Amino acid sequence: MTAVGAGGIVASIDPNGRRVLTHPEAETITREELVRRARALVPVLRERAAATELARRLLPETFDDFQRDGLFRICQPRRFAGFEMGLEVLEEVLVEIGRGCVSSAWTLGILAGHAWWVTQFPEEGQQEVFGNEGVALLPTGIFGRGGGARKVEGGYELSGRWVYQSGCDVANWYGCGALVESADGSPPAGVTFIVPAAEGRIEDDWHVLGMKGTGSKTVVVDRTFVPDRRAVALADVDAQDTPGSKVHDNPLYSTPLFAFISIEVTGAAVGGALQAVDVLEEMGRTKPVRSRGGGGETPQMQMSLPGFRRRLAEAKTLADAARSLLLSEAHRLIALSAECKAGGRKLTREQIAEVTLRQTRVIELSVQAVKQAFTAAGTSATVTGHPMERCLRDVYTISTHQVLRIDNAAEAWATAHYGL
Amino acid sequence: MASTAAVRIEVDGQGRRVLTHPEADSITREQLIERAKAMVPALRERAQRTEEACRLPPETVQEFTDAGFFRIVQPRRYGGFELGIDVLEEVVVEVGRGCGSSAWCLAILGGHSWWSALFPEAGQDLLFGDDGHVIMATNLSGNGRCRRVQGGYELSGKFVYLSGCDVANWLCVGTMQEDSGLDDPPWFYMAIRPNETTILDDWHMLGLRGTGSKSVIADKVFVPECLALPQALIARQEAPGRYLHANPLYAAPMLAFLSVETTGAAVGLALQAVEILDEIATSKPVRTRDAGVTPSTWSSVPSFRHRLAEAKSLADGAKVLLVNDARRLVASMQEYAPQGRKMPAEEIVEYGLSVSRLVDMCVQAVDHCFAAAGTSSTFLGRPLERCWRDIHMLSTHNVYRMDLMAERWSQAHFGLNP
Repeated sequence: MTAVGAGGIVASIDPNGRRVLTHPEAETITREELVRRARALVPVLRERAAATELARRLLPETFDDFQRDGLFRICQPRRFAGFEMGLEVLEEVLVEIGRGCVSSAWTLGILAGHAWWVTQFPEEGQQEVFGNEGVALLPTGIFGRGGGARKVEGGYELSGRWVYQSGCDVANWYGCGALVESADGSPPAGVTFIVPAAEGRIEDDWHVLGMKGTGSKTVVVDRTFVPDRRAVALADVDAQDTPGSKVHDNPLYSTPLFAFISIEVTGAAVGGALQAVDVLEEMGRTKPVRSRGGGGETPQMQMSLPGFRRRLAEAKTLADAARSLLLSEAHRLIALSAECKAGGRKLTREQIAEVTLRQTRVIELSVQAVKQAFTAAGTSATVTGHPMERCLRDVYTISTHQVLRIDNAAEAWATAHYGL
Repeated sequence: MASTAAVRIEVDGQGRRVLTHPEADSITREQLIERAKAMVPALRERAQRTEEACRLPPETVQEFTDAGFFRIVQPRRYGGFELGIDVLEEVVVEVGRGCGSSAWCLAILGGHSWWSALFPEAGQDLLFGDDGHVIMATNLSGNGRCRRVQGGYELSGKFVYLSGCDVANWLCVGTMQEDSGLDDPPWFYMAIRPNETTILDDWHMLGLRGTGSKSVIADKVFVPECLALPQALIARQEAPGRYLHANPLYAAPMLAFLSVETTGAAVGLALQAVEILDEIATSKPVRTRDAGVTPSTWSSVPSFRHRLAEAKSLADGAKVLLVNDARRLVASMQEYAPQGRKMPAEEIVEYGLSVSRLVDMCVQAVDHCFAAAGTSSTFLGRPLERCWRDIHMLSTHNVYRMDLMAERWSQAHFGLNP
């Protein structure tokens, strides 16, 4: 019994009586093809970068491009119309997209990565959220500080304000972490919910230095009912024992959340670093050297200056190193999850913290790369809207993210290492 | 020398002599890394003595020989294991966790089993001999002088920085032919025996003392034709060995290979420094005015922990990058060699650029450890002061100088004349 729905998604029932959604490309899509599609988008993303910033959201046409190319489905289970590929494939795609537009890459990373996050919820919840077309786009404030909830019959009543909801304008769901009051007087427990976008409201407050195009605005939910199937306790996340981790066989879905999310969007920063290198390389061939006596003869280009070339090489090697490290780490994390799953073990707190620590190194290398490129580019590249000044603002803004700050990650790793 | 004596000699279907190491079919990357890990405690214990002797101790050479470390990238046909340069690097990293000088020598001497495999077939027959036991120290950028004589050349010159020359059984040096009569005289890399030379005791340096990278003097040494490798062939990526061995590894450009070759020593040193600091954290008490009650150790100090984490992420990051670079070199050659393609100049220099980046990360890692460890770690002979001297010394090598590599890469990239 099969039915073909929108986008060619085929719905069928498997031998266990479970409904299965299959994307038409599920059998044929490859890592190489996805990276090729991402690379092909770079020129148009560069053209749209200024408009994306101005709109302070992912542009509808970029959203359509990502949808058409299946980029949101990379880490999504095949059973729910995804491609079920490793985190390293998502990162490789993000790096390419980031070479075009860092904000668009970040938004893609959040939304595609959070399709993975949905797999941690109870099976009925996953069926509902992925719907008939396997489209689950949801920014998420995972931690419990954004709202409050109380237990009611069959679910929860949830209210709150969640800041930094990247991509909320194109989302069809919102993820909302909240503290749930207990009936017996014990401390409130963190629970993360998924709410239909129609039940939330966006507050347009994203006026920031960089990453403007991510539209990471505030989402407000007021006394909405959330059924149990769309709730996951943070205690289960911490214990690496979420309801969803038992639903899928692929060890991708038993990866600990906090390790996964520390890699999830890093490709955007690396893409930004590579973009800055691309921009500087182009300037090397096209920007004349101004000198007092200049003008008369054939003007020399910046690439004739050893100091300029030195900065370019520095920036390049930093950005290349960041990419190399990121992809290896994404691969290593999933391999580690597979090893743990096969041995019936969980990742240790130290192992998880180490994943994050290494990602902060990737961010640091990216920041250094952009800084070198910016310095070599000169004042003309600081004109508002110049890709170089945008890269600088974007990558520095990423480096302020709580998960990606080395001060936090260093302390988390060290205290885990010494058992403090 | 059990492991060398056991090499089997046969003649293959084409009448060529083939040397087979008894472990050639069974050895794995994992086994080699395990062997290196197991040596770390002994290497640490010998580190001071290695420095003072200004050379590798005989027992270290024997252990490397028995473990097959000199054969990792050596052709199977000549008694080697013929594994990738990534395996050599992973072994060197582990050795470097024990002793930076020993790791550097192993990288050079073990890596030059690959270099030996680039010579003409007759030369390789001589170099690898009956047991395939080649330990070759080199100065490939040397500027010796040679003249044509019957059957070969006569070589003279002074050659500096021959790491491991005291324990080598071959030396290889760069030299120009002075009697060619050409405006642009030919250059060669020539292999000679150490006992045909004089080794000078002139290695008195800041760090990497145990490498014994001394000067060697050759005075009218006869070099048969087959042990003279024309530099022009190497520059064109047309080494005779490329056509002798099917494995694409032997088609790798010299500068790409050499850039990666010794870098494991830097990564090993960085990891060693992190381990030392970790040990200090749980053993060294924090001195305070009111101490005496329950002394807490440095792991309780947040700023110390942050230094350790910074250093760790730098050292770990450098290791990942190194193994990635080594694997990339192997994979690129697997793509280029079967098509008879050469690696473009820009791509070759990218290896130098890349390893200069990761060596810089290693220097930063050791500097963080040094800063966090305090003055007590600067007593002579303390492992951390040795790591600090070794890594800063290593970073001065031409291959790791970002200034040089950045210039070479950008000139290749923009097609400028050097």
